[in-house]
Amino acid sequence: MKKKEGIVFSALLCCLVGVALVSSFSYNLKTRMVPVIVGSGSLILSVMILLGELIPRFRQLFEVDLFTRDKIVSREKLPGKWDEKKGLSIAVFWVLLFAVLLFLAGFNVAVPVCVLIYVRAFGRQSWPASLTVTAMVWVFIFGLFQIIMDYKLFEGILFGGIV
Amino acid sequence: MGLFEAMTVALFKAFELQNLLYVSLGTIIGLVFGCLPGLSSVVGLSLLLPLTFGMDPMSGMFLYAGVMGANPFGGSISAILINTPGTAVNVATCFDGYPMTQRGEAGRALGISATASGLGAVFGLVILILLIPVVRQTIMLFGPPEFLMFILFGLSSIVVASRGNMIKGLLGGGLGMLVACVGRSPITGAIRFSRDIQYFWDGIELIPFVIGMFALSEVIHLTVTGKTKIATRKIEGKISGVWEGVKDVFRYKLCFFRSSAIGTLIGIIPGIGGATANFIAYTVAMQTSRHPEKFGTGTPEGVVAAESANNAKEGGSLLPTVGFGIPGSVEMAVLLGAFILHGLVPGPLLIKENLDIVWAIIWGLVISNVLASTFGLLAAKILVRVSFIEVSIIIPVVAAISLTGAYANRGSIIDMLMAVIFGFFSYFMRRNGFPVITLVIGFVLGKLAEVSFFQSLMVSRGDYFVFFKRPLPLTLFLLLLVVLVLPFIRQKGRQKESS
Repeated sequence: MKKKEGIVFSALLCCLVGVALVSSFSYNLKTRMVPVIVGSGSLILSVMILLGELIPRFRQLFEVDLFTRDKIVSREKLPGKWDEKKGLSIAVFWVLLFAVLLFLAGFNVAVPVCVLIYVRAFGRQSWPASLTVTAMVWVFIFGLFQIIMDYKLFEGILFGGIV
Repeated sequence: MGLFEAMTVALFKAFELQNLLYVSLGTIIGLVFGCLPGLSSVVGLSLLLPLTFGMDPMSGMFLYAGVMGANPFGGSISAILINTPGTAVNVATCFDGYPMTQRGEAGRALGISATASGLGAVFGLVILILLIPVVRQTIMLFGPPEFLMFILFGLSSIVVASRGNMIKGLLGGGLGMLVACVGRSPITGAIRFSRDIQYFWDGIELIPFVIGMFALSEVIHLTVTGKTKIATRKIEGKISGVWEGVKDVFRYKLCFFRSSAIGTLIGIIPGIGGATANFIAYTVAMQTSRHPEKFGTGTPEGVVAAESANNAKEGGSLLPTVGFGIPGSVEMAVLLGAFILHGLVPGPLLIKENLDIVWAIIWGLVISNVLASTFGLLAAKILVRVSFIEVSIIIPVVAAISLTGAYANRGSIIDMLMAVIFGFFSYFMRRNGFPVITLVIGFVLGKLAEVSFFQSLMVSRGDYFVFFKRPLPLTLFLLLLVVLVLPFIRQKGRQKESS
């Protein structure tokens, strides 16, 4: 699973750099010079990484460390029954929900709603604790940005906010 | 501005009430983020970036210096009291700090940590002050070709020092430089990689980029790992015997000076960071001690070595940052971003034209270390409670501040969305073994490198060999090759040895 993810990520990087390199050829010489030099080098490196993901022996050639003989990459131990996929799903869902809600309904709605969802639903805190944390975060953000620093926080496109 | 004049201007500014408050606020933030395992000072600094946007640059630097100066000592509090290092630079502090706490000598260990941290930082800064005139003279020899080669050399040494797969580190640097190419070309003014989206015409904004790369990626990482509590141990015993700890630092003065020198030296080398300084100083102290068998059982010498090195490193890592614009650590990379944000040009121009800003950081670090040591000792038991806050409470708080900060910079909701995109990108990079620091440094230095490249060509009337005709760029180029090849040679040697 991890290997597959590494291959997909490396392939994506290859595509990203490739697209950047190809599109830089449409600019004039001075404009494209640095993107072409950097892009070409990066493309070679990303292909090498992709090859490394496909052929482990090839990858080992570049896993070097100046300072220690110990194994370089050590993965963090996850607690008990925790499933990494579940964690990633929660992270993706919650961060995207936060961003979308901010866009649609603005800070005054998104901040308390998303903080409450996280603390109560994912963090499994009690209702009083969840509400206290939510209120404190909202007061902090509203107080710091809107009152002390005089920033006008985004109201959300549903409430008249302009992008 | 002369060296002495800049020093006094910054000193007077440092003692203005407003700036003292900024240093104090930074110190508290640094201590809290230090005590919070999992959230390093770089997250704190990233979150502060949008808040300092409208500030006078010098006041902003006092705030940053406050965070940077106090963070390592904050991390040592949780390392000593509950065996949970608050930051990566405090891991070696646990080896002897926690056994001392178990023996009922928590106060003594904290006394050592406070004194060694404060004096270690001063040691590193004194070395920095002594080297500033030398660096200023050296910088006079720097033209665009030298500067470009120095950027590339710095980036390569960071790639090598960041460990693991070097190719991934190099690609990170390349990606960062490509991201920096988005928007108007600094040479021709033509717009690149914008896909006709107006937002990209002025390039990628620094604040959402840094917030995404460091703060939001940490939020995602903590959620994925599913940790509920970072620290689980209880504090054992009373905090007393602080004065005895203060005296210990003077009792082991040779160990203190040696470790501080190691920390400063390691700080000067870009990218290696405090964790390495901490370990190397601890190992050297053990090897040179009269009682190496006591290390790991709660010897004060171990705490002196670890704590003096990780704070002395700050002075060392400031040197390449302010002198040449090459960040000595991740925190320094964010500081470099802060310079740009405040309209200061990192690199040789900074130390030539804004020496007062450099001095402001130095004084800020001195004051912050003094405040952190005093306040940290007085409030250690309260501060360490921060480590027991549940992760499920920390995550939404950091996320909310990050997203608001990303938006508040320019009042752009697209900046907030960019921070989210960079947050996920950074998380997947980390997950797949890419060092994020090289990408950030590539981004920060990308435009400067491009400008230096074209200035070199202009100076040489289009001669591409200008980088190899002058002695300094040629030397830097050869050093760059050595830096990139050396790890492979060592690796080969190790393989032969083991086979």
